[in-house]
Amino acid sequence: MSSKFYQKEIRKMTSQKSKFAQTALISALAALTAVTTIMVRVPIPATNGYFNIGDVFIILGGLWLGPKAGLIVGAVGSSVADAVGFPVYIPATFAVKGLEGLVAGLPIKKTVAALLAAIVMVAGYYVFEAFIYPMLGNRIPMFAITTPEAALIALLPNAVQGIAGAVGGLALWHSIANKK
Amino acid sequence: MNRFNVFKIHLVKPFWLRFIIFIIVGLPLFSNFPALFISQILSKFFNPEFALIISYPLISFFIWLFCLPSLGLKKFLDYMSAAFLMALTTVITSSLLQNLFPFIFMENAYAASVRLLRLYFNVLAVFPWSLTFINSFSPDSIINALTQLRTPFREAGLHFALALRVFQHVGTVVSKLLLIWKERYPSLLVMRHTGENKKLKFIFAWVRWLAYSVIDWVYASIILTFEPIPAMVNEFEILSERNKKNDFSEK
Amino acid sequence: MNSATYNIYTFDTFEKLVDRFVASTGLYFPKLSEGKDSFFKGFYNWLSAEKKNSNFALIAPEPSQALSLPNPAQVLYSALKPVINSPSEDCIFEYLYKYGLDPSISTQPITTLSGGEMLLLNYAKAEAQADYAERFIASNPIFWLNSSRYHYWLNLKELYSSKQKSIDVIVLNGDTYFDNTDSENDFNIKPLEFKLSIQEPKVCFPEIRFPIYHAARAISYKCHKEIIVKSPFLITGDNGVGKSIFSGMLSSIVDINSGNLSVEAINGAASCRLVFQEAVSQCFALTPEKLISGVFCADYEKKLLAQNFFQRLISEFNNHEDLQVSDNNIYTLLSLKIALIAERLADKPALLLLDEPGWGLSCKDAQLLVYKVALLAHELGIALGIVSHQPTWHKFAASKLTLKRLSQNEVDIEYESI
Repeated sequence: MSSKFYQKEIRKMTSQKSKFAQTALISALAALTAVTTIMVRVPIPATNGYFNIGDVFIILGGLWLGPKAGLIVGAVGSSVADAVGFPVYIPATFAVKGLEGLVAGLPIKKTVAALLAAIVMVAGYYVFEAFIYPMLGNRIPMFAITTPEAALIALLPNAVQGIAGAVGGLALWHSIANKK
Repeated sequence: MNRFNVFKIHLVKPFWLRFIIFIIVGLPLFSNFPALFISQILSKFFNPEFALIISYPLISFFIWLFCLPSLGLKKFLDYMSAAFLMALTTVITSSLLQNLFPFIFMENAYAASVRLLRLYFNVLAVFPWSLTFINSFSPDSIINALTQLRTPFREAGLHFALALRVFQHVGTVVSKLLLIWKERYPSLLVMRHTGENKKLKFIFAWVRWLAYSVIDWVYASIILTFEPIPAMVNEFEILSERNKKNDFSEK
Repeated sequence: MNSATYNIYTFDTFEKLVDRFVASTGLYFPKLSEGKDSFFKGFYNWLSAEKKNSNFALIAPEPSQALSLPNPAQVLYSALKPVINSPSEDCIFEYLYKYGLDPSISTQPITTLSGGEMLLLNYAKAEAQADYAERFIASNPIFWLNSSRYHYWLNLKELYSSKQKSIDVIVLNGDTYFDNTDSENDFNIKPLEFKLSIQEPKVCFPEIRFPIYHAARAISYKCHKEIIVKSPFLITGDNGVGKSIFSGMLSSIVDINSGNLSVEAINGAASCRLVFQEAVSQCFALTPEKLISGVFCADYEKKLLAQNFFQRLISEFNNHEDLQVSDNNIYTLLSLKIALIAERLADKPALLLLDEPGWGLSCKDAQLLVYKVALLAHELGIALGIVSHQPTWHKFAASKLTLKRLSQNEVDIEYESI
C-alpha cells in the first residue's frame, strides 16, 4: 500500500532524466560518503571508533533520492571506506549504514526521517558491537574485536556523529534539492 | 629481481592461489582450532593456561611476518600503529568498566582478563591481515570484466562503468581540492594569516574559520563532483541506445 | 549530398564559448562561476528536462569532459563498436599509437592522464567515430598540445573532410593555432632577480593498490645548480615532462623525497605561491569576496591589501565586456583568476607562479592580465613565473627554464636568459 508521499518519491525518481542519471547521482553520493569517511577521521580517545562526516551524504542521499538510493549510498559508500580502514567492520557497516540511508529516504517528514536515521545508526552499531560481534567472535576469532563495554562507551560519540550527520544532511538537502 | 619478491603475497599469481594462501595463513582468524592446537603443543613445556595465552601473540607475530614483505615497512608500521591504538583503547576501556561496574558485567575477573588479552592480540592480527588482503586484490580486473559483459548483462556493465568513472572522478576532485588546500594552508588545519590577534581572539577566529572551511569543503566537493555528470550521462545514454540498436539488428 | 563545412567560431570569454558549445551540442555544462544557488537550480532543471542526445564527435572545453568511460581502452572500444563488431586489443593499441600515446596507458584510469594525453585520446576517439558521427564539434582542440603535435589535428581534420562531415571549431580570440592575431602590444617589464637553487630533487609517488591501482612513479630532476633567475621567467617543456610537478615542488605542495629545491628573493623571502589553471576549483567554488574574506578572516590588514590588489587589477579591465560583475553574484573566470592572484600577492611570497594563465581567457585578456600582474608583483618585490608550453609567453619572459626528458624518469633543466 503506497501513501501519497511514497508516490511522490517514486515520481521524483522516475522523472529524473534516465536510469543513468540515477546511477551517476547515487555513485557520486556514495563516493563522497567513502571519501569523507576516510579523510575526515577524528579518533575518539577511549573508544575504538572514529568521528566522521560521511553520514551527512548518506542522509542527503536518502532525503533527496529516496530509500533505495539511500540504502545503496550508505551500504556501498561506507563499506568502501571501511575497506580502507578496518575491513572486519564491513558487514556491520554495510547493514547499519544501509539501513540508515533507507530510513532517511522514508516517505515521512524530512526532519523526522533524518533523526530516525541517526537513531538507527547509533542503535545498529551498538547491537553489532555489543552482541553480534562478540557472539560471532566465540566461533570465529576474526570477529572477536569488540566488547559490550566498549560498545557502551561508543554510544556517545556515535550519537554526536549521528546528530551531526542528520543536521548536516538536512541542511544540504534544503540547499540542494529544494531548488526548482 | 629482488629476492624478497618471493615473500610478497600480492605478486602471487593466479588470483585464486593468492586467495587460498591468505585463507590458510589467516586460518587462526576463522577458527579457534590453530590456537588450541598450538597451545596443546606448548602445554608439554608450560602450564596449559599459560600455553593458551601465549599461543595468541605467537599467531599474531606469524601473521605480521606474512604481511610485512607485501606492505613494506612504512605501510606496515602505519597500520600497526593504528592497530595498537585500537587494541589498547578497546582493552583499557573494557577493563576499566569491568572494574568500575562489576555488578553489571558479572564476569569472573580471570575469564575477563583472558578474554581481553585474546581480543588484544586478535585485533593486532586482524588489522594488518585484512588490509593486506584488500590491498592484494585490485578491483580493477573485476570491474573491467564487469564493464564488458555480453548481452543481456551489457546494460548492467554500462552502469558499473559509469559508477566506476564517477568514483574515479570523485577521487580526482578530492585530491585536487586537497592540493589546493595545502597550497593555501600549508599547516592544513591552521589559518595561514593570523594578524596581530591575541590568544582568545585568535581562538574565536580559528573556530569560525574551521566551521566555514568544513562548509566550503562540502559544497566544493558536491559542486565539482556534479559538474561533469550531465556530459557523462549523455554519453552513456548514447552507448545504451547504440547497444539496443545493435542487439535489435543482430536479431 | 552534404557539403562539409569547416567553421571556426571565436569568442571573447570562456562563458560565451561554453554557451556556443552547449547550443551546438545540446549538452548541459554547468557554469561554476555563477554561484552555488544558480548551479543547483541549473542542475535540477537538467534533471527534470527531457532527454536530448547528440550523435556528434566532441572535444569538450575541458579534455576530460567527453571521456566518460573509466580507461582509454574502454573509451576506444565503445567508440569503435558500431564500426567493428569486436574491436581487438591490437586495434585499440593501433589507435593509441597513431596519436602518439603509449599503449601501456590503455588500462590506466582516465583521471591519471595529463591534459595533453586526454586531448590526444579525444582525437583517437573522434577518429574512431568518424564513420558514424553526424559532425565534429571541437572546443579548444589545440590548447593542451605542444606545437610538435599539431599534425595530429591536421590528420583528424583531413579525415573528417574526406568523409564529407562538417567540423565546428569553437575557440577563444587569439587562439595560437586558429586565430593567430598576434598582439601588437609591447610588454616592457623591468626584470627582477631572485636566486633559484636546484639540487637534484626527486619525487616518488608510491604504488596504490586499493581502491584503484596506480603504479609507483618517480621523477628525478637531474640538475645541480644555483641560478640567478630573471623574472618574469617561463617554465616550459613538452607535454607530460613534469612542469606541474616542478612547480608543485617549488610551492611545497609536492613533497621532495631527496635533493633540494629552494627559492630566495633579494629581500630574503623564500616562499612560493602557485595559481593553478583551474580558477573555479582553486576558488573552492567561492566568489572572489568570500575567498578573500575567508583566507584573511584573522588578518584585517592583509584582507584590505588583497581587496586593494583585486580592485586595482579589475580596474584594468573595467572597459572590457569580459568582466560582468553584477548584483546577482555572477562572476567570470577572469574575475576568479584575479581574486586568486590578489590573495597570493597580499601574502608577499618570494615567487608567484601562474600555471597556464591563458587557460579560459582570450589571448588579449591573458596577455594584459599577466602584464599587469608582472608590474604589480615587481613593484612588491615578488618574482613572477609562468608555467606553460604555449609560445605566446616567450615575448614576456626575461628568462626561461626548459624541462627536457632524459629518460622515462629523468628530467633535465636548462636555464636561458632571453
